[in-house]
Amino acid sequence: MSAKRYFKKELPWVLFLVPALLVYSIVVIIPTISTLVYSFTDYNGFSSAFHLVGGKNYLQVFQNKDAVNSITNSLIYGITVPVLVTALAIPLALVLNSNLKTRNVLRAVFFFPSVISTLFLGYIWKFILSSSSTGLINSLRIHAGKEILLLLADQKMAMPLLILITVWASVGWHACIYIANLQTISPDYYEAATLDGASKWQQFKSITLPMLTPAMSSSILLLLTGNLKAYDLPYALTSGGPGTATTMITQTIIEEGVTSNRVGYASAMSFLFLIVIAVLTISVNTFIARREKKLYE
Amino acid sequence: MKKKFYKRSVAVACAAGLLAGTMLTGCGGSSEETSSAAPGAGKLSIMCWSNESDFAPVLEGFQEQYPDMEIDFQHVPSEGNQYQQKLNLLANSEELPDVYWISSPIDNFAKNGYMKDLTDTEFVKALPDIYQDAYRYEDKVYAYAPDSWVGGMFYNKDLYAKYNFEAPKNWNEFLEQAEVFMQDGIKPISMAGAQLMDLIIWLHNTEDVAKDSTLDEKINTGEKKFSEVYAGVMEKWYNECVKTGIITQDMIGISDEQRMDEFATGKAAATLTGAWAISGVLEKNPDMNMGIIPYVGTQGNAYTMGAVNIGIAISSKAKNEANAELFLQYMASEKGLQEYQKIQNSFLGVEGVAYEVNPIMDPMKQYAESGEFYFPSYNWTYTDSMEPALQKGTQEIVMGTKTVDQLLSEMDEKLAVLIESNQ
Repeated sequence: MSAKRYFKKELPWVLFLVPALLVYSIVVIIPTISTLVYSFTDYNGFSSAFHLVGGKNYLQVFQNKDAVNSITNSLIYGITVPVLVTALAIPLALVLNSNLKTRNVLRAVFFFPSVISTLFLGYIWKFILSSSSTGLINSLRIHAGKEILLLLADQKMAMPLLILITVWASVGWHACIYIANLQTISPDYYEAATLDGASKWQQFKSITLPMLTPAMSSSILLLLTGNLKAYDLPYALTSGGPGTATTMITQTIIEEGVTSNRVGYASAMSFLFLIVIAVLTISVNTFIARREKKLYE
Repeated sequence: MKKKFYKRSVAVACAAGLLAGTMLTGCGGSSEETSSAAPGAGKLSIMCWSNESDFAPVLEGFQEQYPDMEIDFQHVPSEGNQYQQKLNLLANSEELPDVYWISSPIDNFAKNGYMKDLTDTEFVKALPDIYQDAYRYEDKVYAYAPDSWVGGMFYNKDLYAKYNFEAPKNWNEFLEQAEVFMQDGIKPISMAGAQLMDLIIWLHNTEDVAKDSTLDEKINTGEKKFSEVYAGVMEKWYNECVKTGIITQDMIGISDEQRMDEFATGKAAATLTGAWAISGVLEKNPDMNMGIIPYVGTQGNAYTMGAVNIGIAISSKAKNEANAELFLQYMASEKGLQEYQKIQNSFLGVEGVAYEVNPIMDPMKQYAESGEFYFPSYNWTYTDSMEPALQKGTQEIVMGTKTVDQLLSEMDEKLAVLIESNQ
């Protein structure tokens, strides 16, 4: 078939992509390009008279202690949560996929936190972990005659507590992804391994774990991109505090861009973080894709 | 064949275009269009941080006069700067509602032409100068603010009586009483994480502003720095409130609701707030016997916290400008003001309008009427950015991760950057 004929044949179907492409351009591509352009200007969001300032905004990001602190917080949070969720969701999926009589109830229990609004979760945990004598944990401690704990008011405990709550809220949902994958693994592999005398651990290590690579790929990428961009749960739980101990880059971008009207500077921060997310995501994706490729070789 | 292909392509393209058009209709919207309806009819959009049920009496009164008007009332909470952030975003996208509430300072909005000039309106002219000045930018008044809030130290009268204390008459008496309360495990002041700076404001008002009320304006103009104006009172705050345990680290994780719980249940002897908190405290403890005093200084002088309340503005590009003006005229009427005052529980600045305040607030009336109230951050041009910086910084000082000097020098740097980027 000649190229012209092929083009004529395919054109009508390609045209069906136009609406989606238009929407995607308006919602994603154009704002991303605008952000890049603004990041080289002193645009304040109000005045249309803005000027090109070169790489000044990018330099300021690295010179600003608050920006560096919030990027560090986002990286700690965004990397630790996927590691912990993956480490817990796989064993949990194995348990929930076994022949337990209560497995459906247990699945519902573990999945439940994923259904609740993140903001609501944040406010509930804020009450539980409040340093006030009226907070749930401290009320119980007072009744037991013990001293109150600082909990979310302690700069060393705030981030670990935030990570733990996120892991608790995410693990059930990601276990479901692994359960779906587990159900596609043929029992023949396990039968063969059992006949060869492989232990349960050897079966897990050599069959289950490699065969879970496709689920791992989806789960880790969802966790990584979602948690690096996290805003709602950290904000509802700690508002970025105590001090700036749990301030994420997303919060700083909103504060600088919308509250302080430094749109150019906030755009530079956004674009730098977009690069960080892209590099991390591509690296992890490449690593997992290699494992996946090995699986089918 | 060619004809068939052409027809099919056109049909698909039209369908695609139609679908895209339908999907994108909501993204556009002409921001320039103005209403052709007669004043009193048509539409009016309002954005306010009071919720709809609280604000209902005002809206109902207005609708009684203009039953044909369709009002689109939007409530955005003020907590966590949400209201100001939404307002900024709407201004950036030229989508401001016809009428909106705005807190001072208004420099950015006025400078960039988002507010209608209200200087020559009768209702603005009827306001005392202090109310007009709060929303003045370059000799023009851009918002109507008919009331003011005044707060102070609410104290538990029964608890004070139990210790044979009277309300403190000066700062040192407050410190002495605090020490006794702390020995018995009672918090002298209940505070939330965002309010650790309130005792700095207390000291700033009584020690500095009482002598020179232009100090914070001098920071705006660059004549003075934060480190010059606040170093003295912040060192005093650190030595006499943080080191002594009046302010403790657990306060950082406490919400506003929880600090009110502590006050209402007698776990704390006092708290710093305004009239809006009275009903909440009485709801938690109907038997609560509380009183209020202004901030008292080291010399026994009183200078309390407060400010002209939030202003009501009309968008310079209002689609329903005539209706917006009718709304402000109603707000400025006796009935409108009385209903509004009940919502705000505030003091009215308009002469000749009868209103009542909660009897607990009676001692503060003289300060409201004489204008002896002040809230420093309301006078900072970049208050939306500087106040959170002070809140976070005071938390870090209490945690021991930052010093007073470091915080003040960071605030000076931040302000310099903000001034430069908004020039």
